[in-house]
Amino acid sequence: MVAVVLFIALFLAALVLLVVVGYLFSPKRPSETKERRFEAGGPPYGPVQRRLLMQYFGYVYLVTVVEAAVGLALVAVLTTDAGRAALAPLAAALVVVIAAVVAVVWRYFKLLADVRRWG
Amino acid sequence: MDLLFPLSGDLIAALVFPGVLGIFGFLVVAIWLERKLVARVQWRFGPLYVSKPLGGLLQPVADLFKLVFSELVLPRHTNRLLFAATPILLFFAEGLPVVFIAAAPGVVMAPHPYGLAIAVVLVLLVAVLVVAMAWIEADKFTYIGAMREILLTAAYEVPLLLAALAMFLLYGTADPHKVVEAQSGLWGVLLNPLAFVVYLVALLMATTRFPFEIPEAEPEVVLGPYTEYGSTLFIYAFGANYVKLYVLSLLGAVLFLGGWLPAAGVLGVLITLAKMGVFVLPAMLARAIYPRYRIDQALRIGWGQLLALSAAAVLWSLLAAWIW
Repeated sequence: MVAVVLFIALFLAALVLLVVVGYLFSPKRPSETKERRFEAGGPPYGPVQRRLLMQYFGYVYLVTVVEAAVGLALVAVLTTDAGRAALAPLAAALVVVIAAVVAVVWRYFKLLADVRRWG
Repeated sequence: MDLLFPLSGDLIAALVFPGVLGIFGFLVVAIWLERKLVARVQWRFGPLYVSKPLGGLLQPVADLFKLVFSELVLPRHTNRLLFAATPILLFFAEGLPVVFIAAAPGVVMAPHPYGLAIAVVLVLLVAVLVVAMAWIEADKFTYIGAMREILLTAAYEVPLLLAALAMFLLYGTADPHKVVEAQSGLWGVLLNPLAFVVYLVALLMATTRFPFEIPEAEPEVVLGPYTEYGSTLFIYAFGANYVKLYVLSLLGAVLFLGGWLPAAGVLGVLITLAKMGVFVLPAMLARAIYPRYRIDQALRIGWGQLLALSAAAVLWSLLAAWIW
């Protein structure tokens, strides 16, 4: 436990210290241009040319998090003695879940992989 | 751990390898090695002028110094506190999984029966922070980068998890020590080659290296999620990928290449370090020889071939576990 605390403390301290040192000793000549949003060299102007469709990305975001947690739960169960005793039904359930994912991907793969339908 | 070292194994893990010193050391060596290797392939010299007798090894250090002491610009349109804090958190979070990975018997910070599984999950959760960082920067290039990052994450996450799961099923444990013990006969790469291939490709995708360097594709979206950063914060934002490569290579060495076998102690640590090269070198060399995939091509690989391969790897492991 000491090692974990030491690692976390030292790692974070080193990271923060480097930022602080850089902040204290680097030149500071702020200007309006520097603090502006990066627009590939030009000032931002004009109406939006093309909207980025991002209303569904929250779901993808959610999936990436849930997926990781589900993976941990699966491993936790499969590596206990009780889980090992029930390996067959668990393995069957796992195969069913994987098969379901593969089936859904298989069904909509052509549609999803067609980049022209994204816009 | 040894008479030579007064420190105990977990403290060595925290301070030297795979802990703090290992992470920062890897950052320097990996950047140098990448530039040198790619230069060799492309018939150039690579970094040369800083520390010429060492082959330019100190060039990344010079670059890091230059970046640390360049002006820290915090744009006005963002939340400045979060803007400064997220890269630090990101770099930290990328390094956190090493807490659960052993580099040699006893050289682990937190021995845990599900250690490697927790490490995998921690690696996967970090994508959330990359997206958060891009969101805080609030810039069209970072938005596009964030979208690409999260799409790519969704594509490699399932195969990576399944590849790790296949190995855990095969060994019947996720404890780093027991996983390595289980490989004393045959290494994991020979026990389940499908899972190894999936892991290697997923590693390239996870660290967004060529041919999957899509979120930060320079000709298209400047630097993607890292566009707004400069100074020390840029080191963290951009260096976080190298830390991820470090963590995933270490994890791969333990999962597939028998970790510290056939030695233990200090020699075991060195062997683990050498085995990490099996993952690090392809990741660096792919930059020199591959073009970049389009995002839809990468997603097609992730949800298509890679997913099928990883499902097959799990079935392979289940069959193997059932037969033995």
